[in-house]
Amino acid sequence: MNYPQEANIVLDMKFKKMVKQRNRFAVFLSLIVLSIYFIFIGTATFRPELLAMPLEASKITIGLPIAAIVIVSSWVITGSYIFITNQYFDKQKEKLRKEYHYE
Amino acid sequence: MNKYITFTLLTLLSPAVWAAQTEPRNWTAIIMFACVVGLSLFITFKAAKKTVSKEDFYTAGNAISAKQNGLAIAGDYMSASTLLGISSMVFFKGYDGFIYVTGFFVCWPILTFLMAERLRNLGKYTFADIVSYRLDPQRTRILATCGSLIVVCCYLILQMVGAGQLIKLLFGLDYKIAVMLVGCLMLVYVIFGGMLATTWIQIVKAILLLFGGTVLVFLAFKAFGFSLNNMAEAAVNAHKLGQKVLEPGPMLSNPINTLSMSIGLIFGLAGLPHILMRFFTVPNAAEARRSVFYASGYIGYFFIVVCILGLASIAIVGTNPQYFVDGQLGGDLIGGSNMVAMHLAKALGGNLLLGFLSAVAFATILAVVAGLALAGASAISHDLFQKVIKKGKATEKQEMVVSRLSVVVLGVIAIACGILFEKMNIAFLMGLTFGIAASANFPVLILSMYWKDLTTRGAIFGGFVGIISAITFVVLSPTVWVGVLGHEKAIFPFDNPALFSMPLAFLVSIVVSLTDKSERAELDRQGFELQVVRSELGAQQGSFEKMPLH
Repeated sequence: MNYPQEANIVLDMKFKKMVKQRNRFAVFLSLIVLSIYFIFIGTATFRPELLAMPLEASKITIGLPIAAIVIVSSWVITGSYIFITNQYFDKQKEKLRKEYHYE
Repeated sequence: MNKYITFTLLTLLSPAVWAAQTEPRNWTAIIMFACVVGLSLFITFKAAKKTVSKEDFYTAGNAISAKQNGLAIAGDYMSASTLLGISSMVFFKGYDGFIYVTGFFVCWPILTFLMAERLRNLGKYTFADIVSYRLDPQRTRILATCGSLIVVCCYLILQMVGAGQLIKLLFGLDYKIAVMLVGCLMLVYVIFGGMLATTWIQIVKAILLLFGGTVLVFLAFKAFGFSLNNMAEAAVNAHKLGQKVLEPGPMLSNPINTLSMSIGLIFGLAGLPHILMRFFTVPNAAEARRSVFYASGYIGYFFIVVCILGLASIAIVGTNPQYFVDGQLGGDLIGGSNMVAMHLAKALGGNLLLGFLSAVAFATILAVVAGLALAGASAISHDLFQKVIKKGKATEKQEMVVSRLSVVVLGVIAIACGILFEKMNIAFLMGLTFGIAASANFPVLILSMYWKDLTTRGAIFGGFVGIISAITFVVLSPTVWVGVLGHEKAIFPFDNPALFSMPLAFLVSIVVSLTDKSERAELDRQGFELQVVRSELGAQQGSFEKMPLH
């Protein structure tokens, strides 16, 4: 291999661990978002009456705020992903870059 | 340069004004329309001065900030059909429109988590850069170009036909002139201004669209005393479905079709070349990630606004005979079913707001079409011409000439098909666009990023199986087999192919890769670990072209 820096980084346990954590974290959040969505769609398909319940004494059904919540919550999860990545993973990456003069 | 643009402006505007005089005209709309065209040409002119190198042309020199790029991505995704289509879906089908919208949204977090950073770190101009990072560059780029071009062309035709019909209605222009106008303006933006102009037009348009939506929703709430409850009650009383309008309805009666549509929407996004290309305009991975966050914030907000507008228009437009053909409530809407949002604008803000919203819708179409053309052109010039035909030896100048020529060719195809398909039912193109994006581009992209054992042969087989199966399923689906070709019964009962074609593409990729014992496969697997370093830590400065194994 003609890429000594990369080859060394690949062997670094810190790097391996970070990649593993990051992949798990990304897959975990994706699964959360997908399950929120598919539970919503599933309910609308198989138990529509649950979303048709009126909200208190009004005409608004519970489905309206729930649809909005699906959108807002997946956005908030996106935000938390970015926050954690900035706070935690980016710092680790910075360290690795410095350590191996990979800049 | 200035001379050309002034000339184009004159030639483009003169038929517009000329034709408008023979039809009923809306002067406010025409003035605002002229303002939008003028502003976009001004941006193009400014951008043209700065667009010198191919970096500038393809990626605006990586100088777009996360906030700007967020708006531009949102702009690419919020097409005129989002505003008009979704509000009219809520108008006619009620709550089903809300459900549909959530599917359009949840793809964004997935894209952020799994792909945003890796796209930026591994790619330079097109998503083919990522696929070909460790795989054989020639063959994978051919695959990626095919996937990109089919998606771009389908989406482009869809937008052109929509644009022609919309402009015909809004400004009283002839359909053919409208299509040509959109095509020619798009050519000017992309050829002269490249990515910089396309991005800024997208940003301006996104701001206008968000502003227009906000004003409308404010006025709508005002009409109901700022109470969602009053609005819902009025909608329930006005709609023929009654209380059912706020409950899940018939759209979901076919769960498999719904599931297939959802899969297509969610994973198709991660295979749309004009969206993916936006990740290359920011300076680094952190900005890429941030820009999707901004983008999805704007998109989510806009979707919720559009749904509320749909609800408000049930109560406002749905009870006013003025907006129905022959004044018959519940009959056909004047100007067709997609005009709900426009009628609402007229009802709430008179001709001024209608004119403003029409101009914004027009700007939206132009911006989306320009983004698509640029994505198609970079696939042809960067992937096909530079990397496959010239094997990386073409000069920058040659590559730029080819990319501008490709824009012209794509523009001509778009105009020709736009005119040809005027009367055709082209709804199937939507399923095809997202179907191919989800079953050809997405599997190859995600496997190449995350799966060590993907080999060139696996990617090629999987990708082409994805393309062919998506096309086959769409041709055999009810919309094409029955609706277009006039057969009696569809062979494939669902309109959206993704549920079947995407797993098929994955399966073929995986099986072929695992059984691949060629020399190339060995190289492909070896390259993975170096690719991980690069995808996590980014490129080293000045070493972007350094590819590990070619």
